[in-house]
Amino acid sequence: MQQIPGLWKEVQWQKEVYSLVRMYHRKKIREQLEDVHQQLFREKNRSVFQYKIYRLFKPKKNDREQSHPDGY
Amino acid sequence: MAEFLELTAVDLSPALTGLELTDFYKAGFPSVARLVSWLGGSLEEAKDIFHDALIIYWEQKSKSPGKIYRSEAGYILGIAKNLCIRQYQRAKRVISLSEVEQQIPIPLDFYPTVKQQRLLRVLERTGRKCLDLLRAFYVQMVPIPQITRDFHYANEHSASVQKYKCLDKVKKVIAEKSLNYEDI
Repeated sequence: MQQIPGLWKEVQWQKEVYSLVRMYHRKKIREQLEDVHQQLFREKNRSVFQYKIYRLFKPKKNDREQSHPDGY
Repeated sequence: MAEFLELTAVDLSPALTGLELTDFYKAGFPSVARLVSWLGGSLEEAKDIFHDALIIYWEQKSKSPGKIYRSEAGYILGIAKNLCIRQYQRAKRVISLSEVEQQIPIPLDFYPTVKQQRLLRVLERTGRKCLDLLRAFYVQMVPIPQITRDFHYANEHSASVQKYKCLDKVKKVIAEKSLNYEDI
């Protein structure tokens, strides 16, 4: 293909366009997921889910309290 | 050319309604949050890693629709572990990956370069409709009749013509802006 410079260039820019469109697509999905996240954390009365998550990110008194997350 | 034409649908699974997505989120997020918290990361970072892991999972699932995952949540956590290893120094030392997790591919172009981010910003300002149309055609693989309806074109031919115009427009922006950025 390198022997046909025009075609080679065409393929290169098509790849670039597709790559950008895919990035745009991922960005749109992130926006959708952000909406779900906000919904779950906006609920006024803390749900079990919120409690479970917030507890993980509570400041810890010392590092020893950070046990190995067996769950993962 | 073949590589470019080998396109796959990577849209969110159409089977997932808003409510199902919420359930999916509730089931998968806690274990990723536990992992990130253990590594010293914040809730915001856990959210970003979880979102990236979900996107990678859906992309892989749509590329190999026949592939059976023993546990969706487990596979998503495996992707998250791989992402954490890239992001946190500590993770490299303390996370051990199973054989299956080691084989999880992370797309090379998953994180856009600075140049791509700039280009995307320009295109979002000047040609959002084109991006939406190309997204529908090439990434979501929406059938032409549906694209014609969704984008309010008179007929399928108009939709196809518009697609080529959009490809041309994006190409021009890339060419112009690439030259500008090289000057900086």
